[in-house]
Amino acid sequence: MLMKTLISFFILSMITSLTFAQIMIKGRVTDESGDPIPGVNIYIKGTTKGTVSDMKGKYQLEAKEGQTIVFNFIGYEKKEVVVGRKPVINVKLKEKTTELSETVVVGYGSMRKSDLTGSTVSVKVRDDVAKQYPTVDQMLRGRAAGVQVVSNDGNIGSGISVRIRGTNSLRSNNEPLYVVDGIVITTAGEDAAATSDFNDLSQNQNGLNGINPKDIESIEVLKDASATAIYGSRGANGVILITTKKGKSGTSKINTYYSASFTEISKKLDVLDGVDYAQYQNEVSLLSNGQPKYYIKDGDVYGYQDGELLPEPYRQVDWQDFAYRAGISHNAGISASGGSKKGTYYVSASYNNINGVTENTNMQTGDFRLNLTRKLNEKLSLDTRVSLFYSNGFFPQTATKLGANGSFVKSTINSNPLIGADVEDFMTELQMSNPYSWIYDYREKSKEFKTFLSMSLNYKLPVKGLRFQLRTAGNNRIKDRRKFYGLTTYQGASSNGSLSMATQEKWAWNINNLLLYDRTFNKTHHINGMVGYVYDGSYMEDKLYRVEDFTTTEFTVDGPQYGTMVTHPLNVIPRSEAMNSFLARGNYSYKNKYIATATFRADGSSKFAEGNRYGYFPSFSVAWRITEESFMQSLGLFSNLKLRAGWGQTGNQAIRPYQTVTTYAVTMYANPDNSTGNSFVPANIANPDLTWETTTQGNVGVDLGFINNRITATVDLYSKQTDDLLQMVALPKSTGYKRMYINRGTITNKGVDVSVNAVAVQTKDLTVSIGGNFSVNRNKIVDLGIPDAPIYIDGKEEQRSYYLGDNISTGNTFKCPANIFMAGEPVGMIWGFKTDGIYQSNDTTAATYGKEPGDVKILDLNNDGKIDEHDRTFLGDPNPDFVYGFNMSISYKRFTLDMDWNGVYGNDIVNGMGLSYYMATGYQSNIHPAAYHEAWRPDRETNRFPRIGYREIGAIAITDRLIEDGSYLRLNNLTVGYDVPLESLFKQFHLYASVRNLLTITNYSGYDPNVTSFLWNGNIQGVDWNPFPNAKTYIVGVNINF
Amino acid sequence: MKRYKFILSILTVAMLTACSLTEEPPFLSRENVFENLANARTGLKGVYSGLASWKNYSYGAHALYNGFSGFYVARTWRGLKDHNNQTLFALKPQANSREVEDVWFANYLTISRCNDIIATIQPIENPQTDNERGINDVLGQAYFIRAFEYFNLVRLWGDIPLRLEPMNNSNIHKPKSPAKDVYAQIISDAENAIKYIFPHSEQLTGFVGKEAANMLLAKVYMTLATADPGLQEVTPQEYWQKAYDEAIQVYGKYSLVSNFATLWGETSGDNTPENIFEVQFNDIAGAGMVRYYTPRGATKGKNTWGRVAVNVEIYDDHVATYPGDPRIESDYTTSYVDVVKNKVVDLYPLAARKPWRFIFSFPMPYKYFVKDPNLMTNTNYKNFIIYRYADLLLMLSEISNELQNGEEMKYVTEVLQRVGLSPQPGYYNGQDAFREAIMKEYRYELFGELQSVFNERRRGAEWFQTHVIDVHNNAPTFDPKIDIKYEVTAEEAMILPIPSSEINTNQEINN
Repeated sequence: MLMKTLISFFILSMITSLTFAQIMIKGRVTDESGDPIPGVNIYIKGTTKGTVSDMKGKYQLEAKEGQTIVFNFIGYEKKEVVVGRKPVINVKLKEKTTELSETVVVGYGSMRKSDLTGSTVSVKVRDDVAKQYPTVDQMLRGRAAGVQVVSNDGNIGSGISVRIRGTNSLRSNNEPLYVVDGIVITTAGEDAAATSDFNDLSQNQNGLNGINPKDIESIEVLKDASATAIYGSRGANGVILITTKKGKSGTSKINTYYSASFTEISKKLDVLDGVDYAQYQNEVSLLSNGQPKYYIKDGDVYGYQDGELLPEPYRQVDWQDFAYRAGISHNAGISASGGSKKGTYYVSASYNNINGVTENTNMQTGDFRLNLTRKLNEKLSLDTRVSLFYSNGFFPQTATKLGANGSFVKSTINSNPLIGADVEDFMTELQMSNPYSWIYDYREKSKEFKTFLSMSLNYKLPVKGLRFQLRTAGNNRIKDRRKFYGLTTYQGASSNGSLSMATQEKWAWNINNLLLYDRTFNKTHHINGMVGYVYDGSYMEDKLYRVEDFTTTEFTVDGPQYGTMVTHPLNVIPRSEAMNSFLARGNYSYKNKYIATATFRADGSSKFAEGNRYGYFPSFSVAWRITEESFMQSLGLFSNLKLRAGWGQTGNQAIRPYQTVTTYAVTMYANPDNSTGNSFVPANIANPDLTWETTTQGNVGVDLGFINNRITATVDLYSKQTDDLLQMVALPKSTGYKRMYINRGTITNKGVDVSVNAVAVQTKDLTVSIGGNFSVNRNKIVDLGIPDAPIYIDGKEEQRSYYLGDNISTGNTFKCPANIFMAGEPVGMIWGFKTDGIYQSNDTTAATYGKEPGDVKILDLNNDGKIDEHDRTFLGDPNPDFVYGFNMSISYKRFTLDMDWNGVYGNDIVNGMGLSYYMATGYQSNIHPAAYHEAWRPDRETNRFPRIGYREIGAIAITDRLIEDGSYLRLNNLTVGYDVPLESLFKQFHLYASVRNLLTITNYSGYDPNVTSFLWNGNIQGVDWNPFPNAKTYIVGVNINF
Repeated sequence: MKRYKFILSILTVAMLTACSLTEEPPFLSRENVFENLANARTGLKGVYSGLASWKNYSYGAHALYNGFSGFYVARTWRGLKDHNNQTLFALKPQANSREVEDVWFANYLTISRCNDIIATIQPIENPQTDNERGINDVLGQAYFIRAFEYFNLVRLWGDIPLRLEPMNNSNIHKPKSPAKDVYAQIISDAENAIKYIFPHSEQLTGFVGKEAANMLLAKVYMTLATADPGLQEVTPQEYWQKAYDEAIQVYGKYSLVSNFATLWGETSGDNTPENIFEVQFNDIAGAGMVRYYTPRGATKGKNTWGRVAVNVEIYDDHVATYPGDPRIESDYTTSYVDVVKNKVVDLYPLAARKPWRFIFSFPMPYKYFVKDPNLMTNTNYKNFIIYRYADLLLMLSEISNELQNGEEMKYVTEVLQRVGLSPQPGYYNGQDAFREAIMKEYRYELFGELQSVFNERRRGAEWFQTHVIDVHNNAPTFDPKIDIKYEVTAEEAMILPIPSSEINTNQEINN
């Protein structure tokens, strides 16, 4: 006891003696990234003594030991430090992230995050991971619940598809609306039209080029109607709001980076080697005419000519090895930002040189961005954003609807592996275009230039909380796409060289007049409101031209003047569109507990005839922040608990203009003197009744936070109904027209989105964060607007409303639809024949159906003794049961590790390649080894592969043999980083290595279960047809901050 | 405060001057496309370009009509295993086969263009000026081509949707009309055509004269004369008389060119005095048929196919009936020079018939084979003649034989005289033998001109069975490893199935 008293006295006296020592404290105030913060208020608690940090964040202050120094700066958390013996106190201030003050971008304005009543997700991606992606869509993959991204890395510049909460529409374009810095970007689903023949399947190239992920500050995905209704007639597919970076006041930051990557195809398909192929062909010949085609000796294959054996053996080629290479790409860029109280700047530029997996693939892009903000005076401020994008690239031929020859990818699998001699039957189509010609004799060049300009003027009105915003924006895109088919390609051979040129020029402009209001009354009522008028206009011009019969083909895409026959004279197709919109939003929050939002938008679109022109899109939503209630706070369980509920309507009008009037086009018709004249032909059927499709969506959600929001979770349930579906329907051919737009039918989507994020470990050295998302969506066609008609399902006749999807191929292989759209069923069910293995020789039923042993046993579901269209039934569902994604981010001292997985479960894929690849059709086309080796033979009956010579060419439906499970789980990105200890030279020197698409776990046997064929055709779902192989990319890079 | 007012007023003005949303498409529309004669004629060329489209006489009609005629085989290395040789060329066309789908569409495409003209142009009664007569002429030609296309459709498919109005969003789905109604419409359209079209002597080159409509009408009556009684309104004999009355209107209005072969030259056959109805092609708006008829290697152009070859009994019969007939050289080829490999390629009968030499085991049709080996492209500038005067003369002979009016020998003699032949003995053995002979004469004279698919079926299933199917299957040259065996009955092979796409999309048609 005495001892204790003595010690405490001793300590007390020490402290009192020390408190009297005045010392000069020096130090530096920085933010978490180490950047200095100037102008920080620094004072001694309980006194008036204080100072302000200078431009370098430095300060000096006299204080006594034991006194408390307070560091305070707007936007940062206040920090208090007790003065000890050390004369240097460096302070890092944390940015305030309390939910109350955190604002998020919403449609036409911003809002306190706590006041959100709709379903939105913020997508956050680490900077060095974001920099690896050339476009935004890839960054979204697996990142947000309810967002499904389909794209193909192997084919650079290829089209993409992003779906938010399922398929809303039976039309092709289900893409969300992209809004960059408040400006609607309309090019996501557009591309220069193709002038090639009608078989061409070249898809739109990625329309999001030019929005560079490295410049993105935040991405908000708006999912439910209460969030998207403010975008009215364009909001039905969800909205992706992208905000680009701005400078911050303070010293300037400079960042520079470089990465190199190495890309190779992620999978090869097995085919017969030269010897096996020769054996296969010999077996085919023996079956048909008894003459072997090849002579095989010691692993060499010899051919015959006029009955004589050729002296030289054939060369044996693995066409996939020949066609694909590893592409090496480079990416470099720099950005600088900074500013003062008067204004900020952010400027960036980057350059990409991408080499794809085939030798004729190369793309170079460059972009530049300048974001400036400036306070003009106390009330008026200006925000200007400029971005430029340029790309120039060569691409591989992608695909064609033709079955046999027009496709590069298919040729790498089908082509005869034996080459070298002039085979007599070279004339047959199958020999026509081989991979060699596709790589060296085909050129596809595309050049693009994009400009975005936007300027917004903010004016604080003399009413507190009220401001006026005038935002004007213009964007311009010029895209030039050319394709040259040389003489050895299928298409070029028939025309003696063919060059088609397509140019698209688009100008879009946009004027937003907004009155914005944001104010808190008596600390209990918070009102955030907006009214506005928006005008959107665009003018677009497509130019098409094709020339053939070349005198020299040396200059390929650059030499149209060497073509002597203009087969498609210059055709200019102008289109203009305009939209007037009136909008309003009110958000009211009472004591930060009870929140209500209402939005309204009226859109008038030039695409629809008078009377159908204006649409009205309301939404209402409420939220209850239960954690603000005292009973909940005393419970101490949740750090955040918010219930949300909302309802609203949105629309979709993504169709071409001029559909409400009958227009005439010009085609060529020869004059009697053999000159070429024009003729007028009708181009479309007018539909003056057209209007937008309307989606009505209800959403209930809960946001949860535990342990100081270290664990957060969001669960949303939604139900959407889309009416008046805008469809491009296939017309009966007896109309003399192929397609037209109509409003018809209803579909519903119902589902659950769940996302969970947790900071699992947080210590000084180690941080582990884990995030995951999971979504289930069920769609159903409620009504098609087509009268019921008799149809056999599973052998029984029913009266149903339905239509069949589009034929897949224009050739004879797969010349049938694979999908059916039927009321009461999910969208795009797979439709065709059921089978039961192979007919064996003891099976007496084969003859009944005109089949022979070894043929595929197609089931006669209605037992009428013949196989016809009445024996078709549902074979599968292309819609996944659920999609999911998870990511993990670990930082340990100077190391970081990031991992992204995403997956799809329970969808069916029609593997169209199976018709020629898994069947020994007997054609001169290479196949899967097992299809030959394990083919049914009279002396070796099997039940897996049919006999040699069996084919389903021209069949009226596919069989279930083509259906495969499309589930997969993919490691999209694995990145390991290290901060090199070079702080004396750089603020940060970060090295990283990364692999994209490292691993795919799937049972799908085709190139990639992420099916990208027919992305733009709503009438074909889940069909894999001549796909481009996907790629695996290895990246190393460095990120330096000054 | 002043500024506040200023900005508010800008906002108000901006709202009030909300831009106009009325579309003004920068294209012609149905309302203004036929407003003057020049435009109307350009619109009429749009109808002709429907005939010239790929799926019609540029390519599709050749692929379907030849394949379904029973005279040909698909010429590919796959031989009898070729899909086409197992379906269309075996007279078992499938509802989803491209040939069936294409021709159906092409005919209706052309019809829809005619419908636009017929609905938009009001005929001028008692036209006074050239302009007024010209407008009537455009209307008349639209009637003619609509009748022509429906005549093709009804003969190929029987009951079909009869569309006579411009398309709008309410008349898309249409049930089939009975063939009888279709024939009635064809007759009415052809009569309108005769009323409005200029006579050939006054017509501009490249357009039909009204005599083409007489010829069409004669063909319609000939078809009805031997048709199923359910289609007939009057007796067969009356139909033959009506056919005569129409056909005789054309007699003497055209003339035969002196050299038969000139009709099949690259340009020498274009717009000759013999041509009654033809589709214009040039090197830019060219015909794809060259690919179909010209084998790879026969020209320097790449990727022509030569998809079709002739059943040998057809060739043998012609040679046996008229040995030395100069038409044989124009109708068929039995060898050609491969200019790429620089060697002569022999075909039947110069080459032996072997399954592994399948494509050399048949002669090839030669009329549309490209004769210029230097042609580099796969489109051709040769016009396609749909109706020519020789056909009309043979029709007159056939009709006269049915009517026994004593003129039957006169017309066929004119046709044969041109090629230095006299009528074969069959013509002198009474009415039935004459009928056999004249029906064969169509084959020799019009070989390959896409008429046989109709002519051989015109006299009913039994005729088709005995004259085409049985003749082929029982030919002395028949080799089951090389020749398609026709395993259908004629009854089954009389008409084509309605295309699957029509059944899938037309809510009023279910089979």
